[in-house]
Amino acid sequence: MNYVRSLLYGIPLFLVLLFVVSLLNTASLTVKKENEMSLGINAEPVTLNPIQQSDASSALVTGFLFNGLLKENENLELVGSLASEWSLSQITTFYFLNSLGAERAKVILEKEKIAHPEWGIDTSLTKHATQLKLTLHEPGYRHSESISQSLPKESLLPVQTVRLQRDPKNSNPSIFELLLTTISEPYFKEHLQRTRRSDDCEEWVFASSFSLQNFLEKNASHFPLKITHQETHLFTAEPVINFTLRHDVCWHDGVPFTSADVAFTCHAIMDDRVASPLRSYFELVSKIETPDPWHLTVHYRHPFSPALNSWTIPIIPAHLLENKDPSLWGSSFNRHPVGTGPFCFEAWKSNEYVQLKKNNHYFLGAPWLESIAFRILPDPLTLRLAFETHQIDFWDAAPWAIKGCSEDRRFEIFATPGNSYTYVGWNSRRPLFADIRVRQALAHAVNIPEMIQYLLYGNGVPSTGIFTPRMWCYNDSIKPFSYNPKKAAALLDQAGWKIGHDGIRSRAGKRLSFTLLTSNGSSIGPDIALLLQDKFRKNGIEMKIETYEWTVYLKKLQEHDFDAVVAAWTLPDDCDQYDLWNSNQYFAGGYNYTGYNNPHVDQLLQEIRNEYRRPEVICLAKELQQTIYQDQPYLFLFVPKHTSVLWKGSYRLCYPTDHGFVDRPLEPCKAGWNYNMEWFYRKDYPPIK
Amino acid sequence: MLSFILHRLFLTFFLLFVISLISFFIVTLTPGSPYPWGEMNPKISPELKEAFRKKFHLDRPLPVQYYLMLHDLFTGKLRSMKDELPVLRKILDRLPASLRLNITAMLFSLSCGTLLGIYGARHAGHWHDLLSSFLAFLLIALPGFWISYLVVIGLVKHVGIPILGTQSYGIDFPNEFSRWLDQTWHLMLPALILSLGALAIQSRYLRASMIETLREHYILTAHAKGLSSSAIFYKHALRNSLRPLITGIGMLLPSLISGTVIIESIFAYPGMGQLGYQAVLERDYPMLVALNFIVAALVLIGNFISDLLYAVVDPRVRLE
Repeated sequence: MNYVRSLLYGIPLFLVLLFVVSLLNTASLTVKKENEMSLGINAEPVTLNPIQQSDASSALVTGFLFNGLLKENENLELVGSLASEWSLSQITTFYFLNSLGAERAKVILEKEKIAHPEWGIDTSLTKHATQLKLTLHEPGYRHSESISQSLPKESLLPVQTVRLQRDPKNSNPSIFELLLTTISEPYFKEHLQRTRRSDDCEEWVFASSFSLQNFLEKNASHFPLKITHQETHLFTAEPVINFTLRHDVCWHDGVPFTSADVAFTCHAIMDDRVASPLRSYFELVSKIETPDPWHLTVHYRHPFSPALNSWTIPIIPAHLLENKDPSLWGSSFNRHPVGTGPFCFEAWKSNEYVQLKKNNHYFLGAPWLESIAFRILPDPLTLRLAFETHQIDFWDAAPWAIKGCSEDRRFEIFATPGNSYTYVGWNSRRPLFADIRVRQALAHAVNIPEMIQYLLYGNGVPSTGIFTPRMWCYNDSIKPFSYNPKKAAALLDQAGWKIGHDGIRSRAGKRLSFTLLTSNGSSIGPDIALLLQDKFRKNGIEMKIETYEWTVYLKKLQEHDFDAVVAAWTLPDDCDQYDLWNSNQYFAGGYNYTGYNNPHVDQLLQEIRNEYRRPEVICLAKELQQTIYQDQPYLFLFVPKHTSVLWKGSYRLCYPTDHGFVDRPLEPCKAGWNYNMEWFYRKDYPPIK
Repeated sequence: MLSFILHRLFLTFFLLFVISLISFFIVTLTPGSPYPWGEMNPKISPELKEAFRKKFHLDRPLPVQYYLMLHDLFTGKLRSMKDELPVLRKILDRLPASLRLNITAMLFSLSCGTLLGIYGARHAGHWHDLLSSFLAFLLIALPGFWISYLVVIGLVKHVGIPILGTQSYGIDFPNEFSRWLDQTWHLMLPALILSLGALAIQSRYLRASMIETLREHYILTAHAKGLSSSAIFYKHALRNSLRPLITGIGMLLPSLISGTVIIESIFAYPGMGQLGYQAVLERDYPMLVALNFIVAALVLIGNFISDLLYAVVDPRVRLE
């Protein structure tokens, strides 16, 4: 039985030997320091197809691979990227009872447009039968409305946009064909235009004085349809964007970039088989024209200014993806992307790293770095160690670790308020929170700076409403509610809540008591709840805490089954907050789940969507933020800072501008210290211009 | 024997079907949704959600979904909801790394565990035994993640030896053998830490069953016959104490491919543990069903093999 014995001792001996030898081997290897930037990411990118991704890791990688037609500059303003020029205009169409009416209107407008240069009517006024089309320099309803005032009322037809919903129990698709043949109203038939189709919803635009509502009510047995949305104007307003594309852009494989790629990207985003998260930006696009490879015209159904921002989306190559089943992109393009960006895809080792190489033919010039590596390190401690041992160059520090790093002279720290804010939402449909005095009192009862100190180790700023300080529409003149328990007590007394014998306030026999919902999916939610409970208790307010699993918590929010809730919003960089605050977004699963309702806010939200001029949008947005903050539908808590740590002086920035290259050390700007990251260079590899 | 094997095979397939059914319903009925873009994203329209549900058959009744999923699984067409890669490809991508790690860990735990067990049994009651028992209990009690952190901090920060990932990053290897050794080094520490618990448990089992065997009359007879003590020990006693080890092997088969979330993530090692864990968090139904199915199949095969091995090792066991 000697072999059993030798096996028993042999295997462990062999393992120990292997251990020692391999250790010595690895210790003897020397790392070759290359002109490479290494970034640590905590999760593997899901896909490198920019129109399908929705995770942060993928977005970070594809940012170096692709370009959009437009991009945001250092101050978050839109500037051209793949597009060298772009211009906005609008086609406004008036509908008339008859051709004579249209002709008369045309004559009137020819005269009026000289008297009103501010309308910005282009030279061409075209008349098609009973329609009159004009091109305006500026999109929006404002000028079209003033123009319609000057037209003869008696022959001008109102334009109705109607969204119809089929009765789900009786869903026969052919029902719309029937509708057309039975209506005798001639104008309805003539100007009927179907604009959108999804499974249970159709949108129609038609010009006539005919009331579809009455018609449907009268014929309910034949047409089981419901009008879910109706809008009436005296014209249709269709914004148009004209892009002129750069001539010198090539894909990484050498094929020139053209307008066909842009058109393809838009169609792919709307394709059901792609299920792109960018889709909501393009639902209003009615038509894309590509007259030649360098020009592109995009038509919208109606004014919607946030759609402008959508042109920062990365463009994907038509020549590689067209005529290929999108469900097969997963294993081909999405793992080996081809873009137009400063870096080309090099390698992707599952769950280890993604590597990019510099694009020597980049249209703004080759970047200084040879390559970029994204190392996938899921564990936070490992990530930190990798940073400290120079395996990655930047590290996003957790709040508790920042103090240690800032005391260390070897490091440089960049901290900027992030784009999310944490808040407590009050369910406004519950009687207790319907009273604004109670909501304001609760805001005065909480010491937010102290909370930031305890929970974020000072790495945050108090939130003053629905926008965060890094956004271009942020209103910096708002003073946060001060910590003032006396004022809180006075407001509660005013509202009739008096201290009872048990130390808790009550009114008409009802105690001031509510339940706060929090989720164990959040790291600081339960801690916030405890700090609030303590402060409220001192003001005679009883708050109970309930902690739920994330999915159950979400379900309770969506069904409006809560008194108060701790939550956070992460915001995109545009200021369209319609979905979060408009009173019509209060329904099961809607995002205005606290039931906030303020007609003035509803109007502001709509105006922001219609307004294309940046300064006007900023004015409206500031007013919006002010109004909502005063109303306190949420108790706005804080905006956590995003903190990055790097080795002091390891990188500088040298980027091209219209007036040549700018070479400067890294510094914080509105778009973040890492804006223009593709133009970073290592100290030991200075740029050769 | 043959009828036993056929009977067991039939039972195995039946069980596999039941397991796949149960796991499918547990996975799909768990609260939460598989949308890749999160629940609270105002930029996601209901139309998009609907398109996504259609794409992955989520709009169909559950039994139909179950049928489609198994059908796709067997034809190799099943795709992850996250990135639309075929799930089998994703599993096969991770499998070699996971196998290497787990086989090394198994080698550590079986060989060292056996040695430690024998050592304890041979010196039962002596302070040597007390020491080995103490060591075993210490290894069982120490949490793996804690040891891992100590090792990672110590080696990476203070000694400066790379241990993250499957091989050192940013190095031109002088030859393929050096690369192989480097990859082996990256395997050694996570495997060792992974094996510690199993190693200790293995040694306790073996020690107990060995002490029991050593008290048997036939061991006394062997001594009386004048056999050398090492022959008695390694030939007669060891073989008859192997039963717990074999049960262990049966259980080890599934653990060969199933991963360990924490150790993998600390060492940034691309194994199956991360894959399964991410799939649970993201409610990636196809991935979860496929993983469950494969692990269940391996458990059943492992049990089947260890049943057969019992008969080989223990002549008293007859397969009828």
